[in-house]
Amino acid sequence: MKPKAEKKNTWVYVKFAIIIVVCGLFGAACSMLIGSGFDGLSSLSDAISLGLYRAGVPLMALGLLLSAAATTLYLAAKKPMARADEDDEAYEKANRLLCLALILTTLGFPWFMLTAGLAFGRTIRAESIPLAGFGFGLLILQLVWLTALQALVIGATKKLYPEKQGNVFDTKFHKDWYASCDEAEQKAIGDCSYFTFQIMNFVYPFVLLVLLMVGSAWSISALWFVLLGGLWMMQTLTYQLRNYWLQHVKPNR
Amino acid sequence: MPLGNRLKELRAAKSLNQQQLGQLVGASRQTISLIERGDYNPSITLALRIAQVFETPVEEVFYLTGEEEQ
Repeated sequence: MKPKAEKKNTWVYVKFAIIIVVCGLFGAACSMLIGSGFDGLSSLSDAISLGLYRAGVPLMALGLLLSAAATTLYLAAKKPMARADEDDEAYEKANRLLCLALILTTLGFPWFMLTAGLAFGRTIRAESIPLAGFGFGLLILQLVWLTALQALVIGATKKLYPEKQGNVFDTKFHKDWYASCDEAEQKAIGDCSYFTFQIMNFVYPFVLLVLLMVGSAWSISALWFVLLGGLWMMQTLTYQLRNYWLQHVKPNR
Repeated sequence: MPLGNRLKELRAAKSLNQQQLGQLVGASRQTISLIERGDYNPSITLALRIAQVFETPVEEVFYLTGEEEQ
């Protein structure tokens, strides 16, 4: 097999330099804009913040739509599941529907936490106790719905994959599930994790850069830098330490 | 180089479905389906296990598609 011709290095450096210059110009422009509209931005931020706190409970109710969509997909998967043993197409269909249901269910949890944070913020509690009480009812409903649905979807997936192990209510669920995956499934999990790592390695510096620009013109809490920087460091360190462990401590896997 | 296989025809000859073959080699039905479609290249261990089920050398089950074109 012929080795692939190595990509010309010059273009890589030119592209890198262009990106740096464009980012610098963009940053400077943003800083100037932020600096010139300091008062306007400050009041805009307060207005957005208050608006989000007020929208907390309705946004939380919107999360019920996610649960409803996930439930519909789960129910739609039941029919092809019944024929999955003898029909490969039905198996693929059921598998795909359950996968989509799981995506919506897993998305439901961060949505639920995010909107709960908004719904029970100090601002909204001070403004309307009945609304906060309604939000609490929604919180319980959504928590029960999402947890039950996740258990049902995992249970149905286990019917399609009888070799799968793990109880969704057990703290060791992810470990047991991963251990019961075969090589192709473990590779897929690795691919997904690496993709997420790459995306987050772009998101963290980008958000921190925006924060840096905003922070240079505007007084913002230092906790934002600590939180984002801390999370980024934690992610990088976890990846690198795991990599080191696999390469040098336990290389014979 | 893409890896071709005769998994489907060998499985049919042995009257095995994907689930049964998966159980025999310690892989999921989905993985057998992926291998058959050429969407996943199995490890040497799994390829050998599959060949063992069909009692045939591994190169009778898997082949490099470039080689066959030559």
